[in-house]
Amino acid sequence: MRGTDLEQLETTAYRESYSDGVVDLFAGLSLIWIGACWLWFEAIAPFAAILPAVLIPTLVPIRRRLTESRAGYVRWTEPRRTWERRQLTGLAALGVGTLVVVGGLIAYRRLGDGAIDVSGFAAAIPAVLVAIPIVVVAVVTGLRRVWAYAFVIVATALATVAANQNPGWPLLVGGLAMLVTGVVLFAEFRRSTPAGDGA
Amino acid sequence: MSELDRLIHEPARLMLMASLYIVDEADFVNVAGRTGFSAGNVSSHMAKLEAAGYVSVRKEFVDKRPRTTYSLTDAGRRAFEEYRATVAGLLKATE
Repeated sequence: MRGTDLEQLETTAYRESYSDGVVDLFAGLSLIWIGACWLWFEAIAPFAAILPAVLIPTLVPIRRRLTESRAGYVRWTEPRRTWERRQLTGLAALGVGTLVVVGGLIAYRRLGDGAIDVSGFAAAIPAVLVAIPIVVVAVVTGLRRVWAYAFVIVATALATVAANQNPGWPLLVGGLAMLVTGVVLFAEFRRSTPAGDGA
Repeated sequence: MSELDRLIHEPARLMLMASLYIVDEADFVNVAGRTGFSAGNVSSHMAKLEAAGYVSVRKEFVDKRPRTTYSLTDAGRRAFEEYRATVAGLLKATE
């Protein structure tokens, strides 16, 4: 048994700990909310991401309540926890960056002098910017379904540009893909892991 | 060449040791889920590892539910690393 085998075992166990679908459900609902704002409440659309960002701290206790009696409790090693903290900090920074860029583009379109024509691709920008952190998550976790989410969002964004539609559609479609996957994963998780008494 | 630690060499206990080596601590449900072992198997093998001083066991109530948490002791980590080194040496010797 080499060191790399144990690292692989740890990585596999860590990835499998996210197979309960709760993160997918949360991300799916968040994207659907953001997409719906773009489609039906455009005035607040650039700020729609604030609500999911505010709800992120509730994700950990909610996930714990939903899954710990079945998947059990585990505390990962210090390097893994440090790595996890670093990824979350990076994602939060990307989220804020996304908000700033989208807000800036919206302001530029409304107030700018039009020196740069952004109208042609503006519809795709919010979705592509949302896809960036998802790609980052896919890279660091190696989860194939997260790659699929990023692909769906970018592909729908490009189709949105081609069809000259509202940027809410790629977010809504990507969110629905996540939500459906989350529901399936969570149902499978509950089916395959009977509730234990922890003793 | 040092001798294999027979306590760790048993397949189920080897898997339990490996499953604890890659984390700081984990409870009974998590260990049973990751290894696929029955409750009885986990309990009996963990009791032997605890008796050898390789595993520490903490029993507590969390949200009014009993929870048994396992972690490798320093001696357990050392023993597991020595076991790995011995096996690696044996495999190299047979190449």
